[in-house]
Amino acid sequence: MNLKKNTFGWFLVPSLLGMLVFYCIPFAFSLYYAVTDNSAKRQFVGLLNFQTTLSQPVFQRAALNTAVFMVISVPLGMALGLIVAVFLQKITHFRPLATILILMPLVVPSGSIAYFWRVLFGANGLASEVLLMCGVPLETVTQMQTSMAAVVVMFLWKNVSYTVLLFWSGLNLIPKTYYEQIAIEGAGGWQQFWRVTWVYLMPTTFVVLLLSIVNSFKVFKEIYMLYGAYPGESVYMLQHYMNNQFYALNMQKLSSAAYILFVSVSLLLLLVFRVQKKLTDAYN
Amino acid sequence: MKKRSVLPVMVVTLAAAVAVFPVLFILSNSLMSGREILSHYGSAVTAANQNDFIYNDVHFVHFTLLPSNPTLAQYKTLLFYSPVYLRMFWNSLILVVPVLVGQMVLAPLTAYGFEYVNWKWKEALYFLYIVILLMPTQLLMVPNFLVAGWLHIRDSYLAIILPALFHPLGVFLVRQQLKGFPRACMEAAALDGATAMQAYRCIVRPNMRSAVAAMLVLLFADNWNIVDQAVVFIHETFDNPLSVYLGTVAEADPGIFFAVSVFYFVPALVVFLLGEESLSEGIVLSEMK
Repeated sequence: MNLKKNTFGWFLVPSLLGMLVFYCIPFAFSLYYAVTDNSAKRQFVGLLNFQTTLSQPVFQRAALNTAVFMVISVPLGMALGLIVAVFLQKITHFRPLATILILMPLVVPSGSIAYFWRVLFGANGLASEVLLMCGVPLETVTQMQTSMAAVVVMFLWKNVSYTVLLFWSGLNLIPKTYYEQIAIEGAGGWQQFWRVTWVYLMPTTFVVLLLSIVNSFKVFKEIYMLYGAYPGESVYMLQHYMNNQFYALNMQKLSSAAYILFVSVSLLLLLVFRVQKKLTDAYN
Repeated sequence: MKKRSVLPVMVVTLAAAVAVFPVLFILSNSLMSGREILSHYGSAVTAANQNDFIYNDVHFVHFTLLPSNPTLAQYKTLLFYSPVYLRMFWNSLILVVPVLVGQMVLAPLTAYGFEYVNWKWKEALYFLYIVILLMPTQLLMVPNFLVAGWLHIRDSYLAIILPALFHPLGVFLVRQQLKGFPRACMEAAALDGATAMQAYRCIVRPNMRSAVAAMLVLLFADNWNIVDQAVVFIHETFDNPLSVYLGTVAEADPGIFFAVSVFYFVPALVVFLLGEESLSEGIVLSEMK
């Protein structure tokens, strides 16, 4: 490439500056808070803040809930998204309309359908009503009102459309001739899926997995809409823990929690990248 | 062949129905009068709802799709007698528009720079963008919060807007599409003596339209639905975007809730319908590297 002057570097400057100022530098600086104490002198305390944070029952609870939520909702969301996207490609009539309807939850603000979820999962909602009608005691029903299951349902409703969109774009990258070729060999729909779709969709699947992991943190919105800023213990997430430290202006706990989160998410992503590399090598 | 095509139609129809049902529910219920809404969904037992399911003197919801007397009264109240909602709707706009405009300019420019610059470390630098892209919002809010303190903008919308301008999602989306852009076009531009800026303006930018459009739809959906940052950075109730306030309306003013919901959903729907075609075209996911 030899444009008159190779000045591409300049195009990066504004974004790099913003990145440094708003993300990288302050994040690096927060390490300083994480390893010092709260006194005026700001004495170095090593890993004490990390130890304190990790040993807090409320932090452990939040981490556990977040992990449980992620383990349930990420695979479920991806599976549903893949199924819908694959079948969406197969239908011949009304496909544009179906696409619009299926992708719509993506743009519906969580607040706009909050009342719908309230009608289903609220204190006097349908779910409780059905349970009570079935003879479940009131005490149990009240306990079940803030439940992970409701949170998963709300989250999936909104976010499966995102996975559908991503898988849909990946499916469009697979040349039609691959399917035609394998169809000539006599492969049925199921075999076509495993031998063509699954194999060639693999790179997309990994991107979707990565994005799904980040997106699973967005469930905070749904929880906030249904249960407010201080939800019950069963749906208390890392996001809520972090917010409480923001409100308390506790930079020590906030920074150490941020670094713990950073390291855990990085390790998770690293694992995904490693698995991807292994699989790609295996297929080649 | 005919037999096999039943399953896809069933699955897609089911998915579409599930996706659309809550929205239809909100739409049709927004045509109820405030009194009807309270009698259907309120927890108080009244003369009007005493035949519904009641347990321990608590009235349970009576799920209704069709209003008995359709009326636009809620919308009238919303638009003419409730300045609070209009103000918060305005707050939402102020939060979203600068981010969209900024990203529209910055993201393709940055993606272009990354794709064609000849730095040894550019991919390492780009990886940093990917890492930030993959970090949860609450984590990114920690650096955002620190900077906001340094710049004394912690109580202003700038604390939310400025970091959002540089969030790497846009750069990622545009660069994914740019990777498929034919090198020959750039070489032809170089032969004609174009500068990097001219090549960008005349060749690259017009060809990245669908990626930019897809980015705008996703950014709008995300920022219009802003909750996480708002609950930390915004302290005054009236400064909140409507997305946050909607969580409390249900208790404060349930009669008007459905109308507000629809009102808040409409701009997102318009943006979505305008950009929907670009979504599938503009998002190119190959590998994340």
